[in-house]
Amino acid sequence: MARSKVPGRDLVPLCRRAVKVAERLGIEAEAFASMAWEVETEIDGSNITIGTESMDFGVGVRVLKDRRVGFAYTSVPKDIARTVRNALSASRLGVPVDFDFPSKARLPEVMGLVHEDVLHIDTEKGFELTKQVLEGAMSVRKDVHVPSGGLYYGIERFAIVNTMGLETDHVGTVYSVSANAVAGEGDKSSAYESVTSRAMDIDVFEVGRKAADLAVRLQGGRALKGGKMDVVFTPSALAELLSHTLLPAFFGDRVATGESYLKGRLGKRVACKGLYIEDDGLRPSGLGSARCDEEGTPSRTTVLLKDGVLKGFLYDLASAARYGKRNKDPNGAGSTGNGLRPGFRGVPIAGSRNVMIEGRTKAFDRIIASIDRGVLVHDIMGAHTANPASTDFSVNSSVLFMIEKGEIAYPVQSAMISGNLGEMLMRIGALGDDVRCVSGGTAYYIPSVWFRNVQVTG
Amino acid sequence: MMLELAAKHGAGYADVRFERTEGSGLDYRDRELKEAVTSSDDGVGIRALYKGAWGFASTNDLTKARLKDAVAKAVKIAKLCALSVREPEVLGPVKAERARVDWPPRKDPMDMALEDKVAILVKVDRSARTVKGVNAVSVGYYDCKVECGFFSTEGAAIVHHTAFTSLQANIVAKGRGHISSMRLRLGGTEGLEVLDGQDPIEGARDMAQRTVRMLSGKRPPSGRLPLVADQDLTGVLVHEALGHACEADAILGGDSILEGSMGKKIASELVTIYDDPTIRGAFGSYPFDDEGVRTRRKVLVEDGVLREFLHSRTTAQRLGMAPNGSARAESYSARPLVRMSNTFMAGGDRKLEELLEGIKLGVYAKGSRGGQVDTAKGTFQFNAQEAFLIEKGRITAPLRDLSLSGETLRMLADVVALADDSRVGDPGYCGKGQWVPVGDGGPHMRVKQAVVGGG
Repeated sequence: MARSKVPGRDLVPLCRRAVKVAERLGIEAEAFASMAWEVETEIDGSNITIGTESMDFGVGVRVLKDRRVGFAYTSVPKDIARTVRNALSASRLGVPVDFDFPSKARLPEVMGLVHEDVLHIDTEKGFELTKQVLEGAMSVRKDVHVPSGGLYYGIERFAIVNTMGLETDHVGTVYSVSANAVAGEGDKSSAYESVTSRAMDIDVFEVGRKAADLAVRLQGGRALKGGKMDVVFTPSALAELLSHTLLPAFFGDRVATGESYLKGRLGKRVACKGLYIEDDGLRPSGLGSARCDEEGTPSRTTVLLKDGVLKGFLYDLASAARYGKRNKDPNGAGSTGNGLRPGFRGVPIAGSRNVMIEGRTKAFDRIIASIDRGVLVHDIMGAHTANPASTDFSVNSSVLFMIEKGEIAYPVQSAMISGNLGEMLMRIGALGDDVRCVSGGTAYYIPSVWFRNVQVTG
Repeated sequence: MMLELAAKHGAGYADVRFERTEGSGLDYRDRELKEAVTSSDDGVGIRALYKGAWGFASTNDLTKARLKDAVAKAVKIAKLCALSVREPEVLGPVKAERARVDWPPRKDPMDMALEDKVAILVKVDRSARTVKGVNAVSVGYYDCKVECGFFSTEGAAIVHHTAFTSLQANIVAKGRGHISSMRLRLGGTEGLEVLDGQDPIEGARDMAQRTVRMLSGKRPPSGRLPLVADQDLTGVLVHEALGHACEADAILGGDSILEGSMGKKIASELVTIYDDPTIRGAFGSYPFDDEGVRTRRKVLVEDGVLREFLHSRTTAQRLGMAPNGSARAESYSARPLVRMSNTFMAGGDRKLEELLEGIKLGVYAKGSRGGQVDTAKGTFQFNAQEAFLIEKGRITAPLRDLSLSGETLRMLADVVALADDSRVGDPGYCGKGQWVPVGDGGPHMRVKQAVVGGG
């Protein structure tokens, strides 16, 4: 579709202005502008109490002078020239680098990033849909509370122009629905459900219903007798755990600094046979997809684990240039297209785009049927307290069920699950057949996973 | 112009917040300066109330057309919300303040060249690395000066200038087949004088020694054991377990175990807890909240009795209480939510040694790697930054990766002794969809029993 139809500023001219200033100063430079336009309607209690609209745009400038990088940003257009000069003075303090900004290249096409239906949601329609989330929750039981949740839609946009002649931009739509439902008086139980997509293809009623259904099923939680047992993490619980343990271990710069337990294990078995993990920047309609990453490197698919063997890491320009070769990583000859930024306010850092996990798969029900004693964990808290350098973690859950003799027996009030995720990858019972998208920092397309013999404390 | 336009569109009340921030941030890791960022940011948020419903819009595109658009959108959203609102929002009465408040830094960070700030970070890094066993060090620094304007249709006109400065060092040690990490944090609503209070260079060396000591830590015992928490961990428990449950929006959303407990005994009578945004220099301080309400010290719990919730103007009205200046927004682009400031437990009359007395087997836990709570259920989970075994009343072997969990009310009831060493420190950011700077603290605290595990 024509870019002009998308609301908000055209960012390329803003970038050009910064690059022109840099050219006059005789330095290599890159301007990255981003814009986020979003509308959000929120549920608070049992009604829709607030909506917000926000527009955020600005430009971040990276300069390369004497092989050193400097960065500065602004959201004030009249400050652009000053920002380039600030970046230049910061470059005097920067570390020596061994990369150039990417030159003009043919970028792959990615399908399904912009869905017109999302662009055309008007405020009224947004409210109508949010109401359906509430109705979904209420359909389970009238007394279910929805203290938070709602609908979110908008546009993400970025543009990159550099002195190597690269000029590109990206547009994508985002549509997200969530509900946090609380059931019961006195003995309260709560559950959260969230779905995000690039298109308006989410059954909003179902999101509310699922959260409420889970909250209701958690009523009457019992105490649990601790010990080593099997643990099944649902995709959302697993994504939360991976984000703070396994995933950072694949990021190139963490490997080099010794903050990854995978350092030096390239080509070695690090997980059970059959386990496959990839990062795909090109996945059609993927939430982490774009034609290029956020420093202009073409997007691609990178295999991380194949048949349980470590195949490679993820790099941005800087980490590839500095560590990729030293790691003897076949992926590390250059950036893997994983240079990501927190919008225009930050510099690129290696990160994942769309993470996929495959392996020996069993129907979800058959996994439960195979477990003599274990827990099914829908949600965890405290994953951010994990140690990403060792993948040691200890998390709490109050959204879980006891599995006894192949059946989901009863809800558990609360439990602590601890272990070392790296070691647990060797003890995977099976993957479920319930692959779904979970978005949280990065986009995951993953199933439930059954781990054997994990410490659970009541 | 914006307020008049909002009124013209039909808003019963509207306020406009303008914010301009100039700052610099440094990230020094692996003996290298990874990031040196200077920035300027400005933007406007507008909030409109129509028949009891809110609409909010923000933009940092400050063209006249875009500003008009934002006003129109805020009012339109409010009108749509009004169609379905069951309990209309009413603003609790406050004085429409007309004030200008400056909290100028004594040592203006803008007066120090980027190079000189980097030099401090390098010293902190070197100091930590003098300790054998230290494997990685990262030091981060951030300063900014913020100009805030608040204007409302009630006639409020407030401008305040504040400053933030913070320094954080993360230290990783490796050895004996283990990895341990710890973090040192300094920060305040002030300038470079933050670094005068506690020397980060000395602090980093001390922290490094402690990080290395944790490598020889034993696997913690698991089960219910007596706990002694240090000031930082007490602060985290107070903030996470009690503070969040005192947020009136959680009460109204049916998401707090403290619903219906006002005036009742919810904790041991030793427990008194404050939330105080007026402590000059503390990281969670602010002169006015983001609804233009002048701040004051709040007593959340007094001698074990629940006394006050944290309120925005609307939550106060809904619960028939008085607004107390607890509505904070992360930035101009966020609507204010009920938040904490500096939350801490008042001290007792004991010494740490007395707290340890009589404990046959227990744990002494210091600081936190963060934590989370379920305010509806009243459960919490934290990982201590540093921990030791207590045996026969004495602190003995270090413990690795100690994790604590439990029920908030049970823990508060189980507080059996407090030391006389309460302090507000541990500057951090509290996340609730938005991040705001907060401080927390308290004294050394002994709890009869807590669920421990991990390692």
